[in-house]
Amino acid sequence: MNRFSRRAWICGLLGLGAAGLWPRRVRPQGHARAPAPLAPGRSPFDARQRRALAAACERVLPGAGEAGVPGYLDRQLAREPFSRFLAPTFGRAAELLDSQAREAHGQVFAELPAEAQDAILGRFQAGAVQAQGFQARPFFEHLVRFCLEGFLGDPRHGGNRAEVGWRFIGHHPCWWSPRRIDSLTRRGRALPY
Amino acid sequence: MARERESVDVVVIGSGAGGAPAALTLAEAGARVLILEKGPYYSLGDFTHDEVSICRRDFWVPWEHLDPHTIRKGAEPEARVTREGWVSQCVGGGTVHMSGFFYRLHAEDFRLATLTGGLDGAELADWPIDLAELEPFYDLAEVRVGVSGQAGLNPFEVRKRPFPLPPLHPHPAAALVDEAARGLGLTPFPTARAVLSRSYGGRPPCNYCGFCGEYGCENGSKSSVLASLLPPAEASGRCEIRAGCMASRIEVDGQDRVQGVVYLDAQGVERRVQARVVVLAASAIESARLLLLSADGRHPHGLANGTGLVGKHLTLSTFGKGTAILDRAQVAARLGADHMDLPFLQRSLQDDYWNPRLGAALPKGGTHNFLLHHPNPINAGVRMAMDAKWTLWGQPLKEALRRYFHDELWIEFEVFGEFLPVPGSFVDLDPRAKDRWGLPAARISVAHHPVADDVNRLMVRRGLDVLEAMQPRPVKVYPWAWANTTYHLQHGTCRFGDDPGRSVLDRDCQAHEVRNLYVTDASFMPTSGGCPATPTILANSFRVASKIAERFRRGEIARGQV
Ligand SMILES: Cc1cc2nc3c(=O)[nH]c(=O)nc-3n(C[C@H](O)[C@H](O)[C@H](O)COP(=O)(O)OP(=O)(O)OC[C@H]3O[C@@H](n4cnc5c(N)ncnc54)[C@H](O)[C@@H]3O)c2cc1C
Repeated sequence: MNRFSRRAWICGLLGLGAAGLWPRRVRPQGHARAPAPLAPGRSPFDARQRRALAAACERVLPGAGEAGVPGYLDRQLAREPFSRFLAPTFGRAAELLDSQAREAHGQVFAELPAEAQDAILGRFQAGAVQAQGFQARPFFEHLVRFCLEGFLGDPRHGGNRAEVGWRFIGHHPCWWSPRRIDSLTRRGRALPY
Repeated sequence: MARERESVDVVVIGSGAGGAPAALTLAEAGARVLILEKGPYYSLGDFTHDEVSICRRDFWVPWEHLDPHTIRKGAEPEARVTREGWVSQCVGGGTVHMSGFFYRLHAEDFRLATLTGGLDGAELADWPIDLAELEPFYDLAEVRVGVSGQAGLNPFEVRKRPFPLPPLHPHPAAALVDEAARGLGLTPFPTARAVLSRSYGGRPPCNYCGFCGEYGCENGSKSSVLASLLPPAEASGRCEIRAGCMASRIEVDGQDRVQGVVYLDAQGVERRVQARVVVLAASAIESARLLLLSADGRHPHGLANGTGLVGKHLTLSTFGKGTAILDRAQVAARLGADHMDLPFLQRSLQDDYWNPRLGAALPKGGTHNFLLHHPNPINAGVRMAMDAKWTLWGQPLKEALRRYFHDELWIEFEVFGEFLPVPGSFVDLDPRAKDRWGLPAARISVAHHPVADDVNRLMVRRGLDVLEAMQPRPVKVYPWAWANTTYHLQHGTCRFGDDPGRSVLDRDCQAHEVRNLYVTDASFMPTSGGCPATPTILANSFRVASKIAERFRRGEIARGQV
């Protein structure tokens, strides 16, 4: 059973949220009671593939390594439904990153200098990397999405380590600021209407 | 098992905008009501700002391999599996994660066929009721859920009563939109919101966190039916909400009177509940699907479908969007630095709602809703990468993110317009795709009327004119989408009307062919209207429920043993 239907099941049985259960005080950190974190699961990749993907993440979003993005990617792709639909593509892409690197420079992708890595990634972005049953452009788009998620997502998923991504943008998506309403009412600021 | 022979007065299928008002009204009128809701029952603590879990996975809508729709756009020969066409699956339905921009329909919406004299290729129909009949129920809906707004500033809208709550505080940049729009001869007005500006009915006021659309409100300040209507329904002691339970068939007796509902409970076990009245409110697409799934020997084409009209006349909403990127420092220099982090812009235009001078073959447009770009950081990054056709990555992407959060202010508008009913837009059962329970999925066919697309383009152009006229001048203004569709807004699959040969439901939203079967989501709407329809769905559900309650009172529908 997937997480969603299991949740439905549990909630249905326990009747959570029945009348009268509405909390009076709102927890500022609502996410403290969020659904349980994902089970880490087994990595869908071998060490070589992981290394290539980690290097790609770092080029797609510099600082990805520090933020824990590669581990985030690993964990996400280990679970349903990504394990079925996306993990094989990413495994394949890791192989292609290395084979392209070896062809052009005689080294694996992770060992190339940044410019050479960018050139190879640029070919994925442009859809110029061709291989049987592999589509480079959709892979690249997914890679960017996962990098952004791992950098800016809730740290409970294993990325955005020590909220480094949120500190970078200077914007804490979980903030909750009653002061904002206070300041509006205290000043008696007239509304435009 | 006791439940096998369970009997109630009313079964409501779906707990969203269409289901909750009916359930509340009928429970308050003394009926025993059971709500069957397919999705989970979330509580406030489940609503976090975790963008990955809440917005980007299956919190609201299951993955498509478990619960698919299929879609076929335009001339595409084959339908493909999609996640489009679901609003939300949880107690409270789509009202839980809506943004809560609340607009009423206008008088023109009820008589589009007459006013236009018809339009080639469009299957327009007047409504059997008029705005005056719905108006008191708009008032009632606003009071019961809690809507914030300022009456009297939208010259195109008919309303006699004030809003129950004053408007939310707008971001200072609302003044820029006002000034630009007025300079173009337009009439901006503050957008009404299903969000509390003050404490109301035991619920706290909005904390201005800005995480409305695609999130649940952890504060209980968003006026979802989960926060507003379902608690008193349950507190009546006569309404039970059974979550995780999917209705799979509606049953009728030999006289075509509704008899009850078959559903799959949370463990996947098939159960049956008898009912005097069934109120179907599973969303326009899913309600049509359930009627089709309820085919039997005597109704081979589905329930209430002797005319073949169930699923026909599907309308969505035309959609367009434009963006202006402003320099935050310039805006602050003009307006002052105070309150620059407020999340709501709160401005709308309806000058093109009915505008013969629009320059299109149809004077019927819709609504411009001006808003600030959503504070979701992942979404912002993906949006920027996407807008650059994925050439934005690496250090430039990081730099763009930094600029977005530190230096820029993104003001956008969304256009919602009339989606003309055409023969190519309908819902039927997919011959192949099945859901996790093995039931055929809904297949959605979508065709656009070219005139609706023209109108949408003109409206997007109008929105861009407003953005371009703002002072300080935006660094960049660009159209993001036009002549597009949003599947979040869906209507029309079981039209109501007075002619049983041309409509599925009567004017009280009771099926012409099945006694005591009512449909109260947006299926009844013969035309889509030019704005998001949630207030209309709520109001109509209150209206229909008052008719059903009246029938109970008159003894026309017997009440079961309690
Ligand atoms: C992101 C987003 C933002 C939105 N913002 C706005 C807005 O600002 N303003 C506005 O007016 N509208 C908005 N909407 C639209 C609004 O959500 C819908 O108009 C409204 O919820 C539709 O009401 P409904 O009753 O038809 O369906 P829903 O509210 O979706 O309720 C249907 C319910 O039925 C359940 N169901 C389906 N099938 C079955 C079955 N077989 N058995 C049991 N239960 C079933 C579903 O799980 C669901 O909970 C927004 C929608 C989205 C997705």
